[in-house]
Amino acid sequence: MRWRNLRTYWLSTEVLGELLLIALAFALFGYLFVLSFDWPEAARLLPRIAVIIGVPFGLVRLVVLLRRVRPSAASVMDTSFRIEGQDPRAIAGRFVRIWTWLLALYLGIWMLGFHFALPVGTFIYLFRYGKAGWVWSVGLSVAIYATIKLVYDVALDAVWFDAVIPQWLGLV
Amino acid sequence: MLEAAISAAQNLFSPGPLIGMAIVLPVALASGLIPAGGLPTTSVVLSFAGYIDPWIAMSIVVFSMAAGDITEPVPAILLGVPGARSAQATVLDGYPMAQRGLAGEALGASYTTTLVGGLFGGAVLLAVLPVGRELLKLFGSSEFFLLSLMGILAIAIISAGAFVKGMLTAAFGIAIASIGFTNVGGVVRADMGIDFLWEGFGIVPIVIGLFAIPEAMDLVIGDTPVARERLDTMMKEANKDVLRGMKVALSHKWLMLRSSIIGTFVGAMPGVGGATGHWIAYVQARQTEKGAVDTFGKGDIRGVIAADAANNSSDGGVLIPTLVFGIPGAPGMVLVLAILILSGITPGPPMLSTHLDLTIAMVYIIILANIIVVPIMLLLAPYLARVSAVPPNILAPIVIAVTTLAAYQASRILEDLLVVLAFAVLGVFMKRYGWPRPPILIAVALAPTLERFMWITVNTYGFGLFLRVQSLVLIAMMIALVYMALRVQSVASESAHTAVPDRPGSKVSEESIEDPS
Repeated sequence: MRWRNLRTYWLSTEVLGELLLIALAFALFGYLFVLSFDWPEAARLLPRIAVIIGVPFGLVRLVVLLRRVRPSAASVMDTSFRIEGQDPRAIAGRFVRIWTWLLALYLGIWMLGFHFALPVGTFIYLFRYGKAGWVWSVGLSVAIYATIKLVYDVALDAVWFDAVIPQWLGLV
Repeated sequence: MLEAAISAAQNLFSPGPLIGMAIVLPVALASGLIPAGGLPTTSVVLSFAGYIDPWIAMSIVVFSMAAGDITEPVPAILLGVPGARSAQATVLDGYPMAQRGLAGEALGASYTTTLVGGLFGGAVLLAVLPVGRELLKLFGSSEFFLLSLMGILAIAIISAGAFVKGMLTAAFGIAIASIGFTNVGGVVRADMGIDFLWEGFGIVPIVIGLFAIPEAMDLVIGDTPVARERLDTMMKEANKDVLRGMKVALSHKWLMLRSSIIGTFVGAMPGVGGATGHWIAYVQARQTEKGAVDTFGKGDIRGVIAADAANNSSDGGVLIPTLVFGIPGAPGMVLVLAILILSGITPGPPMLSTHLDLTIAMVYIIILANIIVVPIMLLLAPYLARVSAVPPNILAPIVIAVTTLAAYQASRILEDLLVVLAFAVLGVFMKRYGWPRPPILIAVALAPTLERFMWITVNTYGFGLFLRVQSLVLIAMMIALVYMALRVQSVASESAHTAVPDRPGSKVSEESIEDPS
């Protein structure tokens, strides 16, 4: 019975998510430690300090995590999307929506450049999900465009990268 | 010193810095009212710091930081929503007061203590500068090595009361900082075959990815807008009895002074920052004031006085290690250091010699911010509090858009947007699982200093490091301070858990204590 409880707990998002974080840290520590043999003595001190501090504390955290049977209380970012008084599906929807928008925004910046993607992306979110209405959505998006143009282009003479689509179209 | 003070005034009160501060004033006022609001402002300044005069850049950043700290208590008292990092203890007593119809009195006390604390912190910073110059003469590479190490470890140890996670993330931060070219040894480390990583990770994409974007996302995902009716009710009450609150605050002058000293002193601990200071001040008031154990957390004005005096006095405190030693006094100071470097100024000892006037100007800016912003808040606080009620779905995309723009412009490297995304994922995970994020930021910022002085120390002193009086004093001091911070942090966490008032939108938790913005 206890074993079954533990197994269920180990496979919960409560544990798996943190295991992922610990694994990421250990992967970096391991990578640095192995490579450090190829570096001069001066350059290997810092990464080894990271490893010396990180590995013992990582192991302690791992043991504490795996030995704890009772999961901690849910919070805003719980992958089971629980917030008191709110529908978990609505929270999950908001989670997916903001991440999708962020990825689309960054993709848009790469494809179309800041001048187009940033105001348009902001407008779409404000109008579609922020329910800000036409006036506010357009106004705030124009404000972002004006910031890019006036602050960065005019005042600072900023340099931008060449976006993919304008390159394809021979515009840059 | 006098010459530098005069030169500071001449440079500061010239058109450039004054216009810069005037432009940033509305943004600065708003930045204290929204979660992690200071980050977008500082990031944007950082993105063009290399282009503008350092006087203008520093005026904008220090002014917005100081002004933001003054506005932080307003949403905490009126709405029970701590706008930023250092108003969480204010919520504990300010919001229950507002619920009892004493919002104006709480605000009056808050403004007074904020003003006194801010001026105190600025004065201490000014007084410490000559001492700092002398102190620096006693410091060698081993002391700078120890200060850097302690800066990383202190923030890790006291972070969110999660010692093991704090140490692990500090080590993780050092590991991240190890990637890329190092002057010590002259090699490119762990670039994974990616040319872009030769330079290592920039501080701006890390800050934006680790803090600004996860906070903005959290707003959207939590989606707890403040009810309009509540705001209207609070607005009516916010202008009542402000004068009485100010008088009450002045009648607790010793509490104000004690809390200001604590705020400045804790703020001056490398890496620890003001957010911890305001909790320590709150706890000392709870333990030392008559009957406070029973009344704190239930709407005791002394809780507001203690927390806000410490919060604002820490502005001067955190600048002490930042300017004197080049070691960030708080996680947010990492960006101030970055701005100085981009402006062609080396933080640390040169700030007290070649750039003493700029250093003194920062004291003037803190004092100026208090003198300008407190009267504005007296008149407009209830209206400005509406900023806190902006729906998350409107605020979040704007914060993300502005910070993304800043992330790119800080380096002009497109791949930095990938770094932002990667750290945003990491930040969301860390926030979700209660891993403190500030140790990563401090570790990344301090790693180059740590590495340089560590190598010199190893070669020059070896274990002789522990025979140097200066080093031993430093070690003893830091151990004592961290021990004290740990003790008080545990009592603070207990206070937060036992005395959380019923309020909308936000919670005071161990995790929120570590918010660094």
